[in-house]
Amino acid sequence: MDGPSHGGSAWPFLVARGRYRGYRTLLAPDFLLADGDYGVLDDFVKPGTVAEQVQVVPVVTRSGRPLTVVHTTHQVTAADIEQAPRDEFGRPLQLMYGFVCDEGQVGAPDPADLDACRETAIAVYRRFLGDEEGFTVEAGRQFPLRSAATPRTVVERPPPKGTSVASAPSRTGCLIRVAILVLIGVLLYALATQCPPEQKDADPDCVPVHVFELCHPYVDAPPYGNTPG
Amino acid sequence: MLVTTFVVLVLLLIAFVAWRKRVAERRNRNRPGFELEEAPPTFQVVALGLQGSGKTLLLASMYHRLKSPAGQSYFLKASPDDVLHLNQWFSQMADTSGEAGWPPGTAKGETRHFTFTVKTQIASGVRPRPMFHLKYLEYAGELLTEPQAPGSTVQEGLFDEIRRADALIGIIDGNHIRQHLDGAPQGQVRLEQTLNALVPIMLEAECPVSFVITKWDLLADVHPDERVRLELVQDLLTSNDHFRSLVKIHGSSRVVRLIPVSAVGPGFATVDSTGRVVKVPEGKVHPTRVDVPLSAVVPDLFAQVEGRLDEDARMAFHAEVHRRNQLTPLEAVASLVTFAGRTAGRAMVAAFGPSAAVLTGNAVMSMLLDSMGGGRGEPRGHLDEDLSQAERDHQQFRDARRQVIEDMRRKVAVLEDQLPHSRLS
Repeated sequence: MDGPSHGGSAWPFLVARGRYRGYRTLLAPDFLLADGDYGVLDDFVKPGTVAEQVQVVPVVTRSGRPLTVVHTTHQVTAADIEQAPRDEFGRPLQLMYGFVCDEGQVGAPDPADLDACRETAIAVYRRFLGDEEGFTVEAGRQFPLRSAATPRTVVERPPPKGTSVASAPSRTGCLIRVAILVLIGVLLYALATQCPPEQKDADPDCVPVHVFELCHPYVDAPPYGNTPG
Repeated sequence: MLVTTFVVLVLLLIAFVAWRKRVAERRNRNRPGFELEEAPPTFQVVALGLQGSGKTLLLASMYHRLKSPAGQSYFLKASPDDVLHLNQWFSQMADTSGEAGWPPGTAKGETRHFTFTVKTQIASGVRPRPMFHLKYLEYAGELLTEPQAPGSTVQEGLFDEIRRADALIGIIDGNHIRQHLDGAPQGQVRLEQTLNALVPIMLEAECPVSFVITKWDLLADVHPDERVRLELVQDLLTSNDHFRSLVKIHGSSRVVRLIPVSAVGPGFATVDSTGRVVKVPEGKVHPTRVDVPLSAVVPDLFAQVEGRLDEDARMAFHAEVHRRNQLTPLEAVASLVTFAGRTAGRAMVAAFGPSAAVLTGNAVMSMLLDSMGGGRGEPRGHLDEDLSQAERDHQQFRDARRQVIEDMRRKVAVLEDQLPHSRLS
């Protein structure tokens, strides 16, 4: 197994709401902007249940690109934005920021990486608050990652909700079924080629008869003779 | 030799049949057998509201009010994780100490369902039984008004949920109404925004729709008489052409409600000089009518279904309601199956519209038929002594479920009695 490696790169991002505008991605990796795929951050990034809790989330973009999103939540302070950190409804403002890594999984994020992202995020957030209506998503620039990253393992997508996978028959069950069918086949063959003892005694050159003929109720009747109508 | 072969064949056949039976038994071990017990159906509720309109606090306060059977026969049970979130929101909302503010808004990534099981005590000493589930969608309000970012799918998911809903609750921010009534242009703009977002969605809905005015406490000084206050608000809302046409269209075939609620209650919050809603120091939370919107969901859905039936189907429906009360529980199960296959039964299923609840089996139909029955006081066509224990248990279950629906109807009736303008149609 490959061990953790350093020297990878990542891109900062920021998801936040303004005083008036709702949650949105304000800063996104440049490649996601170029691909028109940055909405994946809106969908998967959510605040932690504990303040400053770091979350590592493997995601797949709509175009199928696997990424690792490392993020945390920062409650905006008056010092961050030099004004009251509340929205128009009096609710606290919070930043969900972090970095996106496209090269592998990040097991233990280095705090220095997140610190660097927070500085960038706060600068972007100030610009956003300055013009919420006119603001457009900014492109995050690639930076060298300090956090250790390991090669990404392929995670199978779970089946869609509401579907169930039928349980496959066990190997033993299959073998029993096959054995029974083979045995039945052999016995039927033996039966078909077996002469009744009395007939064998009477005629040593007895010709085997067909099982179908033995069992057919109309074997001695003329064809269609007894059919109704 | 022929006889031996025949015997071996028969033995093999017996062994094969026995093996198949054992496999089938193993598969069915965890499946319920033929039981009188009905699986609780699930009704999906979506509250449509813009950001900051108070959806999350209404949800938290509603759960807080209904988490125990105080004042009604039923209560809500949620998963431990859901309870954790709901309690956290409620505690933060109720906390007036220090810097504790309102809970932060819901992020798009936090879109999730809260599934509440409506339970009731059937008999003393017996654990409360689930009657049905209410699945409530919690999401970021901006999903209704702002374009989806490229690569995001959460907005599509929301509109899918809306299409499948059994009830839509339109949330109108009471503070915006207050601002509008005070003549502030911002209030008018925000109210327009809200109705522009809600009305087109609700116009297409086949399920019952109701409107909830949140932050009702902030309108307390509009008029001392609450009836007059709601009348003023109704006049304001119906002055909007879109709102008025929605009420007219839906009102012809279903009830459209206007329910004023407050997640915190009177005197807990006020509007400061900057227009923000702030807590009053030492304020105490006394939620107002937060339980009514959810309590109205099932009774309104059932009333709508009945209202959609034609005359013949309605007569057959009422005949079945009466017949069920005369039958033993076991006979009622058989009768329900027969009824479901008849024209009236099929018409009833169709009257549910795209509701997912009705597709889960006959439980919803049984629930609807029982809820229209006379209840415990009505004479039955059999004596309880003649029933098996399982049938008696099932009879108790049905009586309890009928009582739950009755309690829910009572809450709505009390509202209509107190505030006649809460009924828009």
